[in-house]
Amino acid sequence: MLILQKISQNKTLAATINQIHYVVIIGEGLVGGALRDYLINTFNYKFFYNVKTPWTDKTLIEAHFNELKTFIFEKIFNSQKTELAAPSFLQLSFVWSAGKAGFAASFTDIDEEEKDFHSFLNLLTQIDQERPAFVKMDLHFTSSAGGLFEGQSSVQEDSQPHPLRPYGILKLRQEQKITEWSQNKSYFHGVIYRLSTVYGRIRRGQRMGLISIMLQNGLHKKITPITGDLYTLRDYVHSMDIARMITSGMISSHKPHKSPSNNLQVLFGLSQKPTSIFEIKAIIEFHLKHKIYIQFNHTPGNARDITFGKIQPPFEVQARDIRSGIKDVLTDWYGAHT
Amino acid sequence: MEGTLSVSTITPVYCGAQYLEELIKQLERVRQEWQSKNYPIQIVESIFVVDAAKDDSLAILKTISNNKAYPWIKVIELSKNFGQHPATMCGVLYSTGDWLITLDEDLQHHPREFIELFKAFAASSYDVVYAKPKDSVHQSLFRDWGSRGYKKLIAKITKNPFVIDFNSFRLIRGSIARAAASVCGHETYFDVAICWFTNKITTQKLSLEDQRYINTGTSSYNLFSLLSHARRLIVSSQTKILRLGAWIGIASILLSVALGLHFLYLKIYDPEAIPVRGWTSLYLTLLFMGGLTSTLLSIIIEYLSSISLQNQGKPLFFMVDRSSDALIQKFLNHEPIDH
Repeated sequence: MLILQKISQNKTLAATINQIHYVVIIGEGLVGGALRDYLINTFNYKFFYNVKTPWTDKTLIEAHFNELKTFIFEKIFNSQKTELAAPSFLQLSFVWSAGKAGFAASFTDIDEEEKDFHSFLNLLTQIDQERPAFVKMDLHFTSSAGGLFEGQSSVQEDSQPHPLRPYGILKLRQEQKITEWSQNKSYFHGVIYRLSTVYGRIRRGQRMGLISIMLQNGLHKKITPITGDLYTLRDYVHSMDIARMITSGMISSHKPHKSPSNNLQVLFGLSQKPTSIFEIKAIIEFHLKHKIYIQFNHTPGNARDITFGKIQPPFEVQARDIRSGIKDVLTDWYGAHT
Repeated sequence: MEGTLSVSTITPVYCGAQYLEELIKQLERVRQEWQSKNYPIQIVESIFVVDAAKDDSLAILKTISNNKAYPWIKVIELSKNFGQHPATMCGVLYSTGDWLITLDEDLQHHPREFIELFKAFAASSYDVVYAKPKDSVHQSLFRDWGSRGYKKLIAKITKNPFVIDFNSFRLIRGSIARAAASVCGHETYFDVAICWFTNKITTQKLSLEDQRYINTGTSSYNLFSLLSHARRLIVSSQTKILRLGAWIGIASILLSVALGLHFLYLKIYDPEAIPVRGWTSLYLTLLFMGGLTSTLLSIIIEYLSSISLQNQGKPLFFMVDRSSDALIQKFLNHEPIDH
């Protein structure tokens, strides 16, 4: 868990990013990590608080969130009050991009994650109730379009989620909890991002998307096991594009034209291009200039296509083309290893 | 809908402004008809790839696409004019359908014929069905003869019998079309790439008329673009005819050796039978070296061809799932369908 801080004296930048902005990122995985890097590298955010969340020891989670709350009140709210003589506007954004459970998760796994999420919502409730008037909060939650709409094709914005596995059920329950939670608030801005299949930086020893795994194994001439078929269709979106979408969501959260009441949006984070595993394989082989090895574990459930209809991109942020995206991941890897 | 197969249509657009509204109307009519009759195949999207159109096509398509009544119309705008095949391949790579139908912008390929393509597929679980004109397409003997003649010539050169059937109005299994489009380079001929993935290819005779050519005498293709097509067809194919060069070379070498032995025999036992000295050895040396050069050149061409095909992405293998074909076959054979 980390908090990034941005205090901008630059009036031009202040017009796009609110002058005093704190971003609390819970979960620095593929999406959270990309958001952190994007904010630091593009908008010059600074680390303000960085503590490892004890996800494995569930007894410590509650205490961890309490520590975070104390820190936010003491180091952000109180110090801003004294140092800046109560600014007219301080934006505090929360991003939930945590979650260990994947498509193979069991009901026991998702129960654990639901408890963590419940603790997080409790934290939000407490901060919301006790925050000074100059603080405006927003929440950005990463959900899973794949989990919610597994096996469905031509999914539209108004399609009804119909999860087939515990992971999708978890995401649906979390979305419902946020919706219920936000209904009691007089002032709240939140965005639920239903993400398609996310890929991004090759991160050794950590969870990566299929594309990054194929690239890593391709670079090391190792076999990639795939639970699906060559023709299985998915929508692959680069984690940096998701970071851009979330950043745009944060920027637009408290614009003057926004309604002062609570405002929860559900948006799809997609690339809008269905891609088969065969196409990914061809692109990777083109970039690596050699064949890659694949082993298929055919499980009918994972071979289902998940495709989307015409859906507007969140905040007009267009995702990059899959060819550029794969090249970006590779360029990033070469940059770190040469 | 559970138990239905999705169909995407793909139309590359270059100068179809006067036909597009009517084409979309016809597509909508077929789409509605299939929906109302509960067909097990449904058109889920119509993708229009605007290939730097030289008329108002883009504006027309954008207006229709922005209309909420047409959520199934998708418009892709290419950055420059890449040509019909790259535009088709782009549409294929953006498609989601279990089956894809590619058709031209000018209503030469009428949406009412879609079901006829499926009827041909249903005969034997084909992967590709090409429309074959019943009658003259251009109503011009020269134009039709030219088109058929050059396809036959290319089929002979490349030894690919399907070349004769290639047509831009085609029904293709989605997985195979997307795989073929994935491996295509800028010089790869899309239909040749499809042949790398399947030989379950058939044709369906349909009434096709190039209204644009009949009415105006002009076509979106000129002689240079047709020559360019022919060139790409050859470059994408393994030119097996060049193997003939190797056989001619080997035959020349064998002939030169046999003649050499024959004239050696004559030189020893009947020297008077060779009236002019020197010509024999010169002739045999030329025959031998010419044969050797021809054979070696053929081997080099074979190597280059193999490298070129690998570079273009010809696959080692590809898997296909035809398990849902029975659904369409049952429907087209008027058998009850278990939804």
